[in-house]
Amino acid sequence: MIKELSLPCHYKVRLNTENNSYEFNTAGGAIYGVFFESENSIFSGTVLEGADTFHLVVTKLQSGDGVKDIHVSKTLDSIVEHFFLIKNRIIFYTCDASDDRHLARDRMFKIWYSNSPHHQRLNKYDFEFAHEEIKASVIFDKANDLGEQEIFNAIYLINDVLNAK
Amino acid sequence: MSISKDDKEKIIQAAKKLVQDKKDIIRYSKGELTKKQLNDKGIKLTMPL
Repeated sequence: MIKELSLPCHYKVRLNTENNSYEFNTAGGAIYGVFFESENSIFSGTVLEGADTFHLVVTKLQSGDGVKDIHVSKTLDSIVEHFFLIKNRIIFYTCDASDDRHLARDRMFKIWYSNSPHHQRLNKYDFEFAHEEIKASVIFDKANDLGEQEIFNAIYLINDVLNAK
Repeated sequence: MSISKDDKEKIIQAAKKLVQDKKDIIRYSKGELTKKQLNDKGIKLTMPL
C-alpha cells in the first residue's frame, strides 16, 4: 500500500508499506528509496544494546537526468526529521568501497548533515573501519534518554573494537 | 566500560553484515531479491513510524 505523507519538503514523500520504504520522485525523473533496517548487534555489550537502532540505506530506484537537485537533500532532511519524531532512535549509516564512489557518497552525506537544519539538534559521529575502506556515521538526538555522553562512549568502544590491531 | 570477547566478536561480525546488508537492500530495491530472501538473510526492514 502506498500512503502519501505531508512532510514539509518540495517533493511528495510516499510510504510504501509493501517494501517498507520511504520513496519520492524528483523533477529530473529520479526515484529515491529510503530504507531503515532494524539492526542492533553492532552495539552488543554497550549501553546501546537493545536500543532502537536503525541502519539507514538511501538508494536510487530509478536514475534521473543527473542534474544536481537541492530538493533531494531537503527531502531527505524531512524524512530524517520524521524519523526523529521519536527522539530515542539512533541511525547508523555506512559507505563502503565496493565501487570508487564511496568517498564522494561519504562527502555528500557530510555536506547534507552540515547543511541540515537538524544538525543543531542531532549529534553525528564519523569513524572508519576495515582499513579505512568503510566509513560509518552514527546520528542521534542530543536529547536521547540514554544520555549524550553515554552514547558517545558506546560509539568510541565500537570504534576501538573495529579498529583494534 | 569494557566489552567481553564474545561481544567484540558480535560487533565485528555485525559490521561485516551491515555492509553486506546494504548491498542486499539495494538489490531488493531493484527487484533482484524478494522480501523473503531478504528476511532469510536476517534483514528486517522496518517502517519507523
